[in-house]
Amino acid sequence: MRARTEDLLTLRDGGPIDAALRARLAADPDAAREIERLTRVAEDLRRLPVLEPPPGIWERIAAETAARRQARIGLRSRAAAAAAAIAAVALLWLAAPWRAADRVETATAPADRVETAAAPSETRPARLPLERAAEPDSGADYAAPRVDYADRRLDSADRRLDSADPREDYARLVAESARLELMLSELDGSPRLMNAGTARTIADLEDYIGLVDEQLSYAEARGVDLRYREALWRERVDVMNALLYVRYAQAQRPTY
Amino acid sequence: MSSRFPTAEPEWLERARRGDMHAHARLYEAFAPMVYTLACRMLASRTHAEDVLQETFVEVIRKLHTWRGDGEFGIWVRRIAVNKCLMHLRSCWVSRQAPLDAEPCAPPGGDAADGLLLERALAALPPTARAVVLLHDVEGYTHQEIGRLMGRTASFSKSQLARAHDRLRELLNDDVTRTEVELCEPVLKTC
Repeated sequence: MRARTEDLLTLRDGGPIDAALRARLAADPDAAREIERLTRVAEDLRRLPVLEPPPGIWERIAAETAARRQARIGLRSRAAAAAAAIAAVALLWLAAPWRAADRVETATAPADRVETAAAPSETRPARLPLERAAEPDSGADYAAPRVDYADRRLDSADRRLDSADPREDYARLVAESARLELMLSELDGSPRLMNAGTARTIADLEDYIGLVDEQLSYAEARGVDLRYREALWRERVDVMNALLYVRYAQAQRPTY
Repeated sequence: MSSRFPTAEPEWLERARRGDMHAHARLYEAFAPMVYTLACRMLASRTHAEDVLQETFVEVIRKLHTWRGDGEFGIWVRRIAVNKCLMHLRSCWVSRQAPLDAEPCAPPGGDAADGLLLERALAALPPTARAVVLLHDVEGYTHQEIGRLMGRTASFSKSQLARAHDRLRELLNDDVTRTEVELCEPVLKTC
């Protein structure tokens, strides 16, 4: 019976093998010749010459590395600025006059006045305090049209998520974000060869997600209003969609 | 055992870890042939090998600060390169690619007839069998390690190695392959 290649390879490599089989193969001249041949093939494979890479690849690596580094530096400074801005806005919001007024009124005013002050449908200010401070008539009511960024995002996204309960939208955004995260992780590792522009776009998007995450952690930790956090989750979902699109396109793109 | 890997001067490694681009270039010069050779043989395509070379060094530079310095630098680089090669083999795009589309990797010249024959036979193996035979017989990985890298078992690696050697034997004894190599040799040498 002809010896199995797997057994001959085990014998060649000094692996564990049944004693009876070892004895039988040792007595078989064909098996001995085959082991010798297998040893020679492995040696020949190891002796194959080292290949020199073609020129120009280092330049591509250097360009991609530089682009990534530049993007990281840019994002880091933008992240720092944005984090500082968020911190400032949150602090101003916490110390805002209407909150102080609410507190004073709650403590001193009759019940109907309290209702008037607290009655607007939104539980958050209609405008950011900084905008209000810039108005000549800063004592005007807060029911003026809202212009802040978070609202613009909410308005556009209301087409997709318009449940009556904001907590439901919030939960759906978190779930959607997790779903996109999973899809991204299923794309095989980092993309293949890419030009510096694509690498930079991907790095930018990834860093931007990091920035949104930073803002989210801050907002969660400070218990910032649900609608602000919802806007951040929506931003995260949008950016992840964009990243998924770029990564998917990159994975599909034949290089030559 | 003397190292099969190129070595890197500790001073250059330290400079590279601090982000010095000249040091990165030095590391590339030292280790690029090793990575390119491994990728070329494993993927049987120069185009994919160039991709792997680029991806490997971008990652080496990006993660240099995580290298603890307690092992051989070449082994660390090789591990990254092997992972990149396996990722290429797994990717749908590569698996859809007909093997004939790939530009074969050929030795640069010299007494290359036998080498060419072996290169050709190696390139004709199914991708997984080719990866296993290279990782085991050339790179010295154990079946356990190969199984882990491929998300399979050690037995899978053993059977792939046996299958690879059976196929190599057929290809190396095949007169057609030999004739093809002899005919192609001048062309391959200039590739």
